[in-house]
Amino acid sequence: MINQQYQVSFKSGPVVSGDLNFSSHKSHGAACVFEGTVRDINMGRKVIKLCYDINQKLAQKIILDICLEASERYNCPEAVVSVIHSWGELKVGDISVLVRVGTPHRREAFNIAQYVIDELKHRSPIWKKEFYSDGDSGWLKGHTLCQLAHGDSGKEPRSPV
Amino acid sequence: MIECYIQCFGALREINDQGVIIHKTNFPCTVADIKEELSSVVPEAFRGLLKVCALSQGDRLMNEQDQLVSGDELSLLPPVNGG
Repeated sequence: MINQQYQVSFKSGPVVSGDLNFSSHKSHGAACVFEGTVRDINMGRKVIKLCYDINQKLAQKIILDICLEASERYNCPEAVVSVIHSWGELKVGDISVLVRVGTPHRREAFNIAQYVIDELKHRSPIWKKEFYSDGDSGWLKGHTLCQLAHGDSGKEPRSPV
Repeated sequence: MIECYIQCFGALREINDQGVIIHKTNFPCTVADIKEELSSVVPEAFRGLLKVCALSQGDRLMNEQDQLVSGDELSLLPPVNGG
């Protein structure tokens, strides 16, 4: 049941909307799609491309857990959630991640989509390296997973970053 | 002692050409034991990062006190920033 309801996949290179695999339900009156794209500037530096690295086996497990948590948190057991994240090189404007949430009503769709993308950014084993116009490059700092291993997994919704 | 292959991710991939640390240790041991041992073998530039790395085995995120009974599918995970 969970595997049909929540789907997580990874793709080499940019994601396109047709890559997202999801089931339509006649009882669902709302669908919310979040699309993350590569920006051309970060912390004041001109970005020309990104490279994503993923521990796919662990990421699959963690993102599925996040989808289940989101449905429980917003009391929406009917929610259907699909997530696809890219790995490898992406250029500015490419889509790096898509989250699609289908629910009976719109409020749950918005809330679950926001929860899933916020938690994915904080908890999933995904890393990105930026390449800048001046020839420099660097892996971005991020959120340590050490606390998560101790069970601190999204007790409160996070502020978007 | 058993030789284990620890797959590195993110910035730690650049620790060497393969992005893998080959490490000999005695099992069972804790995650904290492994990290302590690695801190003396990884290049100095990566030691700070190692302190904030988590370790996973397969699809399980481990905590510092977890015991490892084998070196299968170990990964070192620096702080994350996907999306």
